[in-house]
Amino acid sequence: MSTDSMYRLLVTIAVILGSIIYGFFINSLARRITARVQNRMGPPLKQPFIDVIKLYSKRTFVTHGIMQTLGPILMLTGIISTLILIPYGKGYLTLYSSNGDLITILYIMTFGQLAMALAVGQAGNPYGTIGVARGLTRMFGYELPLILALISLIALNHSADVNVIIANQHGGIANWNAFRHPFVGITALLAMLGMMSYQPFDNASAPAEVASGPITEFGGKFMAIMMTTNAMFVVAKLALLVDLFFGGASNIFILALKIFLLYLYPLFVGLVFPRFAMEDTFLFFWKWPTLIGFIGLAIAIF
Amino acid sequence: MDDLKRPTLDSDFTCDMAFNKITKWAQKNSLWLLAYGTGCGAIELSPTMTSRYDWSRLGIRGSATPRQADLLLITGYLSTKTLKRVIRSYEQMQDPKYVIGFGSCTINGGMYYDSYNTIKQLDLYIPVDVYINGCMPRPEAVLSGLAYLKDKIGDKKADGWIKYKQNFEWYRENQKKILKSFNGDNMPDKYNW
Amino acid sequence: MNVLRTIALILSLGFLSSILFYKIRELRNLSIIASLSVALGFVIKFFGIYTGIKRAFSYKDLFYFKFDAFSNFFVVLILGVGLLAILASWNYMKEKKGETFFYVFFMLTILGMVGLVYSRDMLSFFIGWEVMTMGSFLVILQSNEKDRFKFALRYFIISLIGAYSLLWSMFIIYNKVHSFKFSAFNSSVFTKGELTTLLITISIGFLIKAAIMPFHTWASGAYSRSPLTFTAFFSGAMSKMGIYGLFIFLYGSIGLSAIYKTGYNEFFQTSYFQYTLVWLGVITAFLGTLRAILSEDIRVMLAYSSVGQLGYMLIGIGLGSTLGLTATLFHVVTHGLFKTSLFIVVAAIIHRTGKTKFHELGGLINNMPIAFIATLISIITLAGIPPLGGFATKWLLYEAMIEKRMFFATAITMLASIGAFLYAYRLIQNLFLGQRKLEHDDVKPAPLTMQIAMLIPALGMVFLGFFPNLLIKYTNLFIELINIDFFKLGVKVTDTAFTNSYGYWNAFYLGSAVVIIFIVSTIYYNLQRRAKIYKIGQLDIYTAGEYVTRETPLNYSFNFYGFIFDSLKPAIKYSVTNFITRISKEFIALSDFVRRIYTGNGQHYAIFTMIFTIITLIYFLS
Ligand code: SF4
Repeated sequence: MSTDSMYRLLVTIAVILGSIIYGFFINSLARRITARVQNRMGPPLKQPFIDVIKLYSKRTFVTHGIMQTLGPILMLTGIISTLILIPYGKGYLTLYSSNGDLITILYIMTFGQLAMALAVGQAGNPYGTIGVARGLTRMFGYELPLILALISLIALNHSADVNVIIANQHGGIANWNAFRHPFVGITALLAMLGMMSYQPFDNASAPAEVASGPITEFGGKFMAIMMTTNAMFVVAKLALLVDLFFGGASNIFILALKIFLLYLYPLFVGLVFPRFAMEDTFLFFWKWPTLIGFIGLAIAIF
Repeated sequence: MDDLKRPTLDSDFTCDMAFNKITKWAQKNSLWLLAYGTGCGAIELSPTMTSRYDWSRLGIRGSATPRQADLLLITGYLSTKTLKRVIRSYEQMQDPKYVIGFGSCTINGGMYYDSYNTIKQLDLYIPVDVYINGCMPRPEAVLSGLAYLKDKIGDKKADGWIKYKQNFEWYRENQKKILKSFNGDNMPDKYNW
Repeated sequence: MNVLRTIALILSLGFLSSILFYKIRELRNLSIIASLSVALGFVIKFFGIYTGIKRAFSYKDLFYFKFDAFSNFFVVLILGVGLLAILASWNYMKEKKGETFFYVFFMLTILGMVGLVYSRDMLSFFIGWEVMTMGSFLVILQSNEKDRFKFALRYFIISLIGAYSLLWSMFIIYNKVHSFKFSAFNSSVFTKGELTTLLITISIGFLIKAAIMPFHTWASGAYSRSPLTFTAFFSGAMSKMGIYGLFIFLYGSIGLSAIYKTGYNEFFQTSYFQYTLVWLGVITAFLGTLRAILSEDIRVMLAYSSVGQLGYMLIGIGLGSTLGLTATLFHVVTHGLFKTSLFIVVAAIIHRTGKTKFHELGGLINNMPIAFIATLISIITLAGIPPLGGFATKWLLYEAMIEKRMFFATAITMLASIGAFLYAYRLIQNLFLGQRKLEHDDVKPAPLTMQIAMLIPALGMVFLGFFPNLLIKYTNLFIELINIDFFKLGVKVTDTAFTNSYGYWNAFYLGSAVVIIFIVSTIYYNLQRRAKIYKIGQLDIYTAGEYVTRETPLNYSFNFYGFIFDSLKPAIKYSVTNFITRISKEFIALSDFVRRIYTGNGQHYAIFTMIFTIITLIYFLS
């Protein structure tokens, strides 16, 4: 192995571990902010780490079958595969993004979700299955505006290469895609609400309605891995959106800052709006965001 | 009051409880509690979790399903009908798990001491780690009870789940005594089935 | 000896033996399988040899056949899928009514298809086409479904419309160019209007066979009511004949420049005709997927899924670029693989349980582990999730569409493929996962031959996921062969990396990365060994403390995506099927009215005859 690929591998491992830590960090920060909004103290910043260690230290794990045992690992696999295809900066921080373009990233993202859905199915809990059905329906909803936004970007940049899209946003805030192409930016931001599965659209994992949905049957180690992958997935999704719409980053710290600021947006929207019903969620995405997305795409083409 | 002898632990429980420092610390500071209110005491949980007392700063939060929960709060009187569900939920929780008996009703029946359809002593049916007395206990008392449970976990004294496993037959027998239609209601005899 | 004659001989022997031994099961099946596999081996052996040379065969200057890589590509698909389907039928059709003639007509269908694929003139093409339609119609009649007549008849009638449309255009062509040969087509003798009409009539003929959206009404009935192992072949290989026909007629015979003559759009760099084809494909892909999401019958869902997937292939055909055609050919293979596998799995399940609805099944993973694995691989391919073969199609297709600047169409196609994920999940969740029904406790695993037939395509899909370049190598070969007028290499394939002007993707690296990450995570996952893992029973689930029994319905499977149905309810009631049903009802009423002239009274008939004679006389004398 040459030194170059060696470095790349090391950086990749660092980014994977870093994304776990950072994902937990922004998660607990979000919980603290939520608490402050509700006039509470909120948990300490290290709470997610404590939770995960506790879940690992459980003495028994129950499983309903092979897919439930394998599901979390496959999920981890899917998320890490997504993570290494997204560039986090320049040089080695592009990780392995030269092995797949935007379309590849979009599709490999679903690998983790399929694994999760299979594990839920094997657990045989109807609440879990309802959660998956709701999640998939929501996905079918928000993917339309998201795809419209991404296709607009591809049309504007004449490339599906994330690195090229980042490079084209070079030179100041005015050049960021979210501001230079406001319709595309708005579409992406609306679709992102569904993507992050925060408050108004968290019907898949509603604790009171469907007993927290997909994770109903998962405890201990399985739950710990799911929490870890969720933290990583949040970072991956946000990093991708920052790369595509907010100018990317030359430096990992700026990227971290941008990710955090972007994360605040669904959080605050979630604090204001109560949960939508499932039909409304689906139709919401296919109405206004889609319309704006079509306008944005039309402007991008012509 | 019936004076049934409570079971004691075998001496070799330590292997089950071989926690190191880090896991002990984690288990102390992250207690997820099953959102399951039985009696009138559940009303006291709302102030305990919202902005006035905010238990989330102690690392406590609710979880919707027993699979993820560490802590079962029996908030007050327990009718025999509810006991069935409590047993089921308790058995579905993952080790280590703890139970807090909440209010006088769980200790000696409280004001329902002569009721025909509530249970009087909770620890005959499931092991209780901590009792919080009062009718009903105020949020301060609840928090102090939780703090006591944390100390117990730190000292490796919160061993109710091992007790339940080791004396499973004894507990089942008691449960069957009060739940006449135990098997008729499809309640399984096994622990994990 | 000529390769073509040999193949014809082998297949005819198989057909004859299916007639001769139609009552002796083992002998008949073995001889059919032997003939198919020998022919398959023969084609594969000489697959690439004649790519450069045109190895042709003709009879009396009327029937032309050619053995080249392009035809071989489809013949391998036909024979391969046919072999698997017949293998699966061995157990599936065993002791069922219609078993004896099933094989005869099946072989007839295969014979017709191989004939039409090798033919290089319209006459023999048409004969093969009709033999295929006839054979498949007769196979549908061999099933045990009660309503098979209705759906078979519908299939046959709609196919006939397509066939007449084709025949008509063939005669128009013959009238002008005085030859049936594909290569003899000469666009200069046609006017623009004639060319447009020709293109439309030809496409109608093929789009009907491919079940593209306004012409898809036969598909759900015919797919779901024929014997299911035949449906595997029907959907896996036969529906592609429409795509093959379009391919050979549009790009092999008429040619791109002639198509461009009918109207060329500068912006999209394509003709209006092709543009229409692309949008038909997009609409089919989207609506087919939507119907599949909302169906409750496994067979109907797979049928609509096939309709939708054929839409993707049509998009590639409509694009007409190298990248698009490559995507189509790639999808022909992947769809052939996963649909064969899925239909055989469903056949096995229906064979073992007798249930056809999603909500009547569930939890079969422990009873049918092999079928589960095959389904898992198939649905990953179907949804186009990267490590397996399905993603290559998706990638190629999107890049091809973006290259032609059809961005709206791309967006809707991508949405359709997300929708494919939705119904694909239902296939695995409601059949294999979830709670097992009490009466399915001792369901036996799928019969051996069916297990083999469902696993072989699965292996192919895994292989294609890691080495899509091997297939692309061939498709590039014969896209060159069928003399496309403009040829620019849209996709550059180096080793396993795909690059084109818009994007890139490295299948092998990506796949290996996924595998490596999986292994590392598994090791990490199993590091902590102190904790006990308990395998618990089916009913030990969180039910809010309630005690449930096996009789309690605990599967969430009926109206699985009810949210989507409720949201789109106002739009869903307008469907082509409903429209056609309305029309056919009106037509029946009209025929009923017309029938009344047959009163049975001789004097009335005499009056009719007289009126007719008088009208004829007036017409001719005036
Ligand atoms: S202890 Fe008092 S407050 Fe609590 S349940 Fe019993 S009666 Fe109600």
